[in-house]
Amino acid sequence: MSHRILVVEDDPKLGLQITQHLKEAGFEPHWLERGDAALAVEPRDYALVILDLMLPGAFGLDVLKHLRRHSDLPVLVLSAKNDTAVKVRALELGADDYVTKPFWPEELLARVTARLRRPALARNGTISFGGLELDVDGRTLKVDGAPIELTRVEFEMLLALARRPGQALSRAWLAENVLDPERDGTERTLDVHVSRLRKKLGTRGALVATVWGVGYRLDAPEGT
Amino acid sequence: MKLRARLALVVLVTALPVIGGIVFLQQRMQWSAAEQSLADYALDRMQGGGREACEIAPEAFPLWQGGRQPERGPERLPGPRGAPPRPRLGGPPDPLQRGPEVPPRGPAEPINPDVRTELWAYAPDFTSRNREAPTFPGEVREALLAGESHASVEWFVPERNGIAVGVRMPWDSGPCAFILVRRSRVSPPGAQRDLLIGTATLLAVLLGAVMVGAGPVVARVRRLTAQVRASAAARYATPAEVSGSDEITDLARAFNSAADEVRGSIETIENRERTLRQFLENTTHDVMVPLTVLQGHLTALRRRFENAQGEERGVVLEALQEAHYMASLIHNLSAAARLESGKVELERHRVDLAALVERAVARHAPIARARGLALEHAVPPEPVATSGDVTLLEQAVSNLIHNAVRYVEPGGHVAVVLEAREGRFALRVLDDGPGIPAELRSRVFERAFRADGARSRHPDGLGLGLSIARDVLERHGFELELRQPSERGTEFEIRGPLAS
Repeated sequence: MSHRILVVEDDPKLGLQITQHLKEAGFEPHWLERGDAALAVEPRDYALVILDLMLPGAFGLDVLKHLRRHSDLPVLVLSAKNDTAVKVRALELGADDYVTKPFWPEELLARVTARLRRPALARNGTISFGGLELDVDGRTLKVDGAPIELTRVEFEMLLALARRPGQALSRAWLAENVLDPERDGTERTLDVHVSRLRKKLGTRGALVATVWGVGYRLDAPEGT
Repeated sequence: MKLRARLALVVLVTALPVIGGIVFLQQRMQWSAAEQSLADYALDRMQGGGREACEIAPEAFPLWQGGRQPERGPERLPGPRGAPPRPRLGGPPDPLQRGPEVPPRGPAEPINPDVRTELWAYAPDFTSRNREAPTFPGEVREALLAGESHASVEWFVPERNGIAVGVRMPWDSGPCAFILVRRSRVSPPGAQRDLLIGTATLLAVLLGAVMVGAGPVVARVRRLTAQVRASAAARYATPAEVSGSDEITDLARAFNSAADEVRGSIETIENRERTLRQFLENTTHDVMVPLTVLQGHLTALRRRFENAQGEERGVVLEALQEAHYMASLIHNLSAAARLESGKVELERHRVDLAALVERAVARHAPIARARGLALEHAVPPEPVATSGDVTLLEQAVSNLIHNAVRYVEPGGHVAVVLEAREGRFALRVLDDGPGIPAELRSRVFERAFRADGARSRHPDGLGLGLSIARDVLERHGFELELRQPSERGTEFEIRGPLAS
């Protein structure tokens, strides 16, 4: 996947800063200061667009319309006016998300990565994550190549977490969607299942992280 | 009280005494007329032969006319004039047959069988030779002694208003010096009833006239009222109709000039408010870009001093928090301006709550990380959307998170959890910070309230943020609950309906 990011921002200092932070985060930013220049770009060259709405040369919303007409390239709008109507219009015109000024560089990067993040797609019906291989159709698990027996609840829980690695799921959601409501539908039994699951995963058990106040999450293994 | 009722009351209150006065005067006149006529009658009768009859047999002198006579009384006085003479004067032994009957003279007295007239004779000392004579009324005696030629007093006859008139005769001696004439009824029968009917008719006509006359006035007042109401509802844009040339016209004119002033004031206020809001928006925009640049520089500084020890790192952290606080203050000010700009309806659109939570968390994550807190969140994999103003809702959630991130000590936790169940969503912001003391929990949403002045150098910071959160959620009809899950920690929960 391309890591080229188109930045359309008229303020020179801010544009410079955004491109620098993107570079530091490993992206290849391409910065345009004018809206009319943005109307001429080839959307296929980019993975994502960061678009300021107040631009000289063309309205940001016109650039957005132009981009949407030709591609489904993710567009992250920068909004300086904290104006609901503008945000709603931008979302209606196909913007994927927005960041309100002022923002922290990390904040912008978090929104960019969230947009570029794809749900863990099952390739050939298998989800792989940190040495775990889940066969979605066969309901089987291999840890570092070795098959591991899981109960239905344990497998469903691991699968739910593995579909969105790095993102936590709340205890209430897990209890409702993973536990067998007829046998043990309460949140309290959740911890019992998780500790059994961790034990079965062995050295990979640490991947299943407890998130304070929230629930559980499949964390990226250290060193990757 | 309605106008018509008030008018009717006024008519009654003014007309009743007048009518009463008229009735009283009329009765007085009737009375004195009756007194005069009876006095004349007595003189007439006595001078026309009655004196002789009386002086011959004073002990049997009563003269009767009409009505029933007393049991032992003599025969009737003659009936209609011209009837064959019959004994006129009472008394069993018939002393009066001596002379021819005295024909009634003077004022013609219609003879009514229902009205009885009696003449009694008295000596100058007011004693009668007739033992059946009534006592001479004291009042009348006084008046006659004082020199009056005649005087009257009421004579109480059952169910009738009778009159008794004492008359001085032109001769001062003898047993018939004073005559007491009594008549059982002053006014002709039916006169009272006629008077009553006449009065009632007069009153009814008066009332009717007032009601009819008030009709057009009431109608105009009602029309003017409706126009004033319509004008007020249209923010005084439409004037009231000015027609005619009376007090109601003046009222309409007065209202129109008052409405002009009100409209002028409204316009002035609205212009000022518009200018202010425009100014705020422009200023906000002008501040946002440099503030973003500043935050970028501060981030670069933080990275540079990440591994440094001591003072520099603390200074950079402080600067980060100040910049963050300023940004949130600006957002809150513009939210407050929108919330307080009157009863403007909320703009409601579909709001993706999962994206909202992720944006709000991303906004505070850099500060949480710099302060050494864990800021975690979870949203369901399924979309969760509600209906509302995305800017205001995001600011409300952001304020709850900011509050937690500011007060939780390093090493603490803040979590934001979004859940949806049975058509409703619940968004919880919880932390394991020091918590809010129970006695202060009910007050944290008050503007300008902070749990402990020493905890923050920013006056009004928490108060503004939490009160804006409460206002925003109230305007949306969402619930906001504050809980303390254990000895420490705080938990805010927002609940509301999912978008259909």
